[in-house]
Amino acid sequence: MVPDQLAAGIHVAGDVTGYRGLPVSLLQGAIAGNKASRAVHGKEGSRSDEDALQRDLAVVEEESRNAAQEVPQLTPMGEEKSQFVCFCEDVTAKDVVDGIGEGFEDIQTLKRYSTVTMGPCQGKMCLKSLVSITSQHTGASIQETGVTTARPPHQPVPLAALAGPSHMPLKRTPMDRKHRELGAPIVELGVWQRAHSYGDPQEECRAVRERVGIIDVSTLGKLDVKGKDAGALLDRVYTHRFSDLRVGRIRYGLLCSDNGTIMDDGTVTRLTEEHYFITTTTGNVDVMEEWIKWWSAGSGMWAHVVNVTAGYGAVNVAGPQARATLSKLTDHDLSGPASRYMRSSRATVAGVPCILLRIGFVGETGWELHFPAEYGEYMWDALMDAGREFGIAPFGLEAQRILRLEKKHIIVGQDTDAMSNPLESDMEWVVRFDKEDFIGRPGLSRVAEQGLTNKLVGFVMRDGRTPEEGVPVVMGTKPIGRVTSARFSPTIGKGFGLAWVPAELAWDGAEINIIVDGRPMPASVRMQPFYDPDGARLRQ
Amino acid sequence: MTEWRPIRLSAMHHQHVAMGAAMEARDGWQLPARFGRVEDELRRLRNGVGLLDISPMIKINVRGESASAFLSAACSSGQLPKLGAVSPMTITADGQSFQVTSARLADDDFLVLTAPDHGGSMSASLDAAAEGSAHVFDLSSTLAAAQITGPQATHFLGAVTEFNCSPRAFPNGRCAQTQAAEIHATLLRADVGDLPSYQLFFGRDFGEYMWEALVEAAEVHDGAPVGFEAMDRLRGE
Repeated sequence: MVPDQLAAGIHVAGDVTGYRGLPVSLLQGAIAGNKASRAVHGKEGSRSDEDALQRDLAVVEEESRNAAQEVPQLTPMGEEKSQFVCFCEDVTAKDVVDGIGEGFEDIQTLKRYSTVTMGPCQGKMCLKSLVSITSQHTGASIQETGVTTARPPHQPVPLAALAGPSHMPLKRTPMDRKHRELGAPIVELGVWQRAHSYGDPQEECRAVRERVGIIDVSTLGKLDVKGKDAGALLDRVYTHRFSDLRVGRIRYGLLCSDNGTIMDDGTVTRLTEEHYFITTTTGNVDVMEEWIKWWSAGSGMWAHVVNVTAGYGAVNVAGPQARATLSKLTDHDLSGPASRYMRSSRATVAGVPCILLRIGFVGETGWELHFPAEYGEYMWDALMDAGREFGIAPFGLEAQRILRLEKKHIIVGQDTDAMSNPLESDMEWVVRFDKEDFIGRPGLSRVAEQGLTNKLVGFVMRDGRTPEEGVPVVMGTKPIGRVTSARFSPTIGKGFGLAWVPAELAWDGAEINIIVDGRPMPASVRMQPFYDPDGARLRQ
Repeated sequence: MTEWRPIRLSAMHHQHVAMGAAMEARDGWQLPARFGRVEDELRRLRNGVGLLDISPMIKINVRGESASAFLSAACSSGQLPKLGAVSPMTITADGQSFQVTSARLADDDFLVLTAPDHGGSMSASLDAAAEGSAHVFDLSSTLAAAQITGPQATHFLGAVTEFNCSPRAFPNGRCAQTQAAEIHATLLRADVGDLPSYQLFFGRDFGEYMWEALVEAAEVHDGAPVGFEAMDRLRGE
């Protein structure tokens, strides 16, 4: 294990030489530095100093060698259970000791049995501990125990990983400073920094339902898709049809993997005949960009996809006073007939060119404004100023999650998992079996033929308590489903949410039990949105 | 009707302010004119390395099988660059002419750059003129950018990217897509006179993160951010 055959120009010092202790390391460091300096500058003058250092080193190395005869007690007996030896393969000291107890005393077979040293680090972090534990529990010396055999391909550790600066890439929205100035707690959502709230999320919900609110949604993934075959490409990767979407219209879209499980969702807007503007979930845009490009490549289609997420700041202006607020900033006709639900337009807002999307994730009359990111702070201030007379309030991630839940709008990844498909997620309306082939169609056809096993439904707690997310839905003591999202609703005054339940319980009023504080508590199934089920407020 | 005065801020705006920059309006943007004495920044550019925020540049991506043919046809002077190279060109599209620097990132992928003061309508003009499989994407807001100039610039870049920026591997007039501070970046070498100079383009959402990494690395190479006044004077010389 000691590096005794070094390449020219490489000098080592410290524990890597097999000797422990500060005096040894200091002398080794001085000698290694001397040699390196001589190699670089070609000076011989310091050799006599080095000879003296070598003599001192021989003495302390001998002392260190004698001290090293004692095997370090890395794993005190009786405490092995929570001591991890191998972080790559999740192997504890107890697992290793159990392996020895079962007869795998040879370190080579112990490695195969326990998988210690077989992870991505290839033993760099765990081999020493493995040897030590094996030695302790077999009675063999360290030398007799030996080491495991490392086989290619060998992955060297880059020096930059040990000595370079550590980089933790973080993304900020163009309005990031505004949220911090308002004292919003910032939460990390993947690499993004987002405002959690600006005070009381329940009050923020009320502001949106009763007046007008704005939320920074710049973290939404945004893709530009251009080309004469752009519509055909989207028909292929989405479950819905987009080649027939008229210019200026918006349609909700869902993407599935090959087996029909949900990958992502968002809106698709046709800006021109050959130009679509897509939004994706916050954390998934890179995957979606790659996915769509993958299916485009080699297809012969004339379409290109570019990730423009960073290029657009985005704000959702929502609430009964959203129209009045925006009308102060633009000459564009925002009246109901001129700016209908699920329509898009280009307009100047506060002197800034914007794409206006008339959509409603939070369930109120609202517009999603997308504008060049460099105007972010200016636009935020302009909207807040314009909405002041209407009682405008910024709302954060937490309020948005409550508001969307009241509309039963799902969040991919929160309410769905790697096994969820759109049919069981109560979104069969978004799957167009009447169009040509699309990604996921065979899997979805199979689900449709075999019938649904589970269904994503809404629920309201009987006693108003709010369960934790992730808790089981039970029948008696048997888990039959799980809660994916749960909050207290300021609109209905009760705990509510979304849950997976057996398909036979997916009907209005079905009784289910959800674990709250360790006890099953009654809840009722709701198939319709909890708020504005007909969408009248959205369309106003 | 209200007369609006929109203000454009670079992704690194607040970092410039925090470092004491004198911010001034230029091309509709608030940009750092200087961080201290212009003479000190000029000295830094001549002897060490200076970092300049050049995010306002117009950055147009032209891609597609016929991108090369489209740009060749639009080129009224200069030459289309070869793969991995950068060329000055004049492009005429939709009745308008633009002085640009064109970087060929792949056979069918170009980054066309021009100054913000005379390139505002370039994207629309190119888009209107594009035909066939050539498609035009305006990345002016999507990409933030930094210019890294000075005799230590090449050495400095070694601290932020594993890409080989040595003069032999990456001489003046070359471009590449690589990683810097562990995020995707596009790098151009466009010397200012005799001084090595690089333009680094990266996602605007990573702007503050990247600038922090650049400033941190610059400190050990007698480097620091500089304002546009120092760069203007250097170019004037």
